[in-house]
Amino acid sequence: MKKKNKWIGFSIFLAFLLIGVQMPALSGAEDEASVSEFDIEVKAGFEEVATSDLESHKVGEYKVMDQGIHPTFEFSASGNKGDDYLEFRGQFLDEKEQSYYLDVDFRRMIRQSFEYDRFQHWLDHDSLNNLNAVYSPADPHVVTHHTDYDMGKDYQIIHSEIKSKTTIVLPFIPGGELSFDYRKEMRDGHRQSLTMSKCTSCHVQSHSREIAEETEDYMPSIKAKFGKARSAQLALEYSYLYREFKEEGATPTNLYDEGINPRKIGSKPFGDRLWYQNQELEYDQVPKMDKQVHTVKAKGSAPVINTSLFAAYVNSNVKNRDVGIETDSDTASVRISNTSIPGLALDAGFRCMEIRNDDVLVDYQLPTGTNPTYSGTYQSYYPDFEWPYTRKSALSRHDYRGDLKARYTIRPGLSVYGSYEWKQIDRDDYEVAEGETETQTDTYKVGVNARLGPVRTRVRYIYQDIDDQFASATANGQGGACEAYGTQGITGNWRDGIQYYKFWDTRTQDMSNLPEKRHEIVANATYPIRHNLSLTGNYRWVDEDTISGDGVVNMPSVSLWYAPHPKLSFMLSYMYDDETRESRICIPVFNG
Amino acid sequence: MAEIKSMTFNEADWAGYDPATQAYDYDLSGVPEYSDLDIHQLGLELDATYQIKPDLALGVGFSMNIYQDNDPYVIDDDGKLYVVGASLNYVF
Repeated sequence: MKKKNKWIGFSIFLAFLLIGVQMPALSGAEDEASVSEFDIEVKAGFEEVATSDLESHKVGEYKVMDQGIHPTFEFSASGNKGDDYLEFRGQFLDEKEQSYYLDVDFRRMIRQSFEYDRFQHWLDHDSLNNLNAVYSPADPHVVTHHTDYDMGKDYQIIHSEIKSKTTIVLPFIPGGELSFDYRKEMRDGHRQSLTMSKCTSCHVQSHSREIAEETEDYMPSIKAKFGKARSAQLALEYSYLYREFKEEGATPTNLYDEGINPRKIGSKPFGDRLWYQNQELEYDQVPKMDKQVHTVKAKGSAPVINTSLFAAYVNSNVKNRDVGIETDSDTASVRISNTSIPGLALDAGFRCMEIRNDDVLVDYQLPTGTNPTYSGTYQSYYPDFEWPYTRKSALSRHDYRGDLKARYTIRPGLSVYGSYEWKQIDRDDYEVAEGETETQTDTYKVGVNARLGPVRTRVRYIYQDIDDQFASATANGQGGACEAYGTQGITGNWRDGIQYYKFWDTRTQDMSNLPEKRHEIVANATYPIRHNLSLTGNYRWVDEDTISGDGVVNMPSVSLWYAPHPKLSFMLSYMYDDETRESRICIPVFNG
Repeated sequence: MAEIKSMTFNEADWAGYDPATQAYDYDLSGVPEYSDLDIHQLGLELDATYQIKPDLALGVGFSMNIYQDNDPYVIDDDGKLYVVGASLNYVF
């Protein structure tokens, strides 16, 4: 807390120091060659917060909500002395809710801006009672038990962010600028952290997790421009970003229970299937991260041929400092626009990205089945399976996308447009269906903007065709939700020492909630009845097909705007949302 | 206001599942109860400024927010928040 107050104090000190520099202008001591103007506004007052029936914090999610009377203070100052400009404003509502902004421009040669923002965010606290929903009536008990070790605790995060941007004009380079950006974001507080004890999901447990996150960005950059804006001009920019992230809140621990049969005290049927039990272990660990990004951008414009061109290359590296795993990426993109044909605007772009993520070596003591029928380890059951296991990353991929857009203005007040986008994601080591790592999405869009008398209308239709959308392959039983247990079920039951992977083998159905085909129509019309009264209607319709089933959305809305006085306006709106979605779940997941 | 009317299960999906051999028999009738949504939200803000002198003004404000959850899902989110404020605004 002391650290943050130091920054607030620093910002106020810096601001008054700079105001002090400008004071001669305020007192009328400016020299004859310069003209000075300076405005200062101060607002001092109070705010009283009264709450009632406050059982949670949805009603004021970003409000401090400490009841009682609080002093408030706002100020703004702006002005110039000759070619030097200054703007400074700030708002103090509470120790946890305040913001400051400072901007200084010294003769267009050096520009400095500084921002500080701090606010509080209330978080949810799940009582976990909904886990009581599923129970076994034959031998009455809930299937999934739960324990909240900090029942009723309020969870909140205080966000603080400092931003600084320094820009120096380089007079010896045409359009040259050297910049240094700095950003520090802090999140402090507590949130709910869940884990599962017993075998797998039999017992969900909740603890408070301390949050003390820090993200720091350092980004120097340099810009230059060549050529003439009227004929042809090229702007080049290079930037380097170094980001450091760390979480210094204590990693929570949980006592993982002994794997017993909750309905038979003393019975321990899961002992030969668990990796750990009856131990206090850490969970929900947040790794320290470093990120480096190199970005090169080029923007060319040639007004004589009505064409502009943009190209960029980005190279990034993210390193998990706790375990040394790295992710590299290279992205190249290009976009060209042309307006040579009267009324027709054409735009085309292409982007390719490659992501390479390190493999992870998975090595632990494999559970060994003790039942003669299901004895051995996973490796002994599947001799081709190599152990320790090298888990390839699902993130490594090649991502390509290209688009072509056209807009034609038929006459003033009437234009049509259409576009096509092609997107292909080819994952190196992750299958979205058996033997398939590639997802291709084709998106077609057409629309019309028209003015019919005083009424402005817009209609848009989008169609998407997705081949092999992102999915969890072999996630569920074939056919119905649990049909596999009847047709491919394993002889015996969970008390006999069946290893979990035997249940996983019965899953053959891919699952995804993403659509394979999607249609969307969006239409809206605005009727300005009078200069201070207008009526707007919107309609959105979506129809999408997924593996789990169909989804249909009908969402009409209407709004009325009325301004009886230049400083007084009302907006009345109503929206109706009717959605139908089919989904598929499989309840007896691990049978344990 | 938002409401999920009902959650239904297709009995045909359970074909072949035999509680006797799998040693499990789940009652899922309580699941839809935890998925109903019936939320009402109301927000009102009023701000006014009275110019006392060219360089001095009085500002007053009032805001009211009501969040009413008639069918709590995970947690009970009911709440009412009233805030009143006043300030003297001076321009140098």
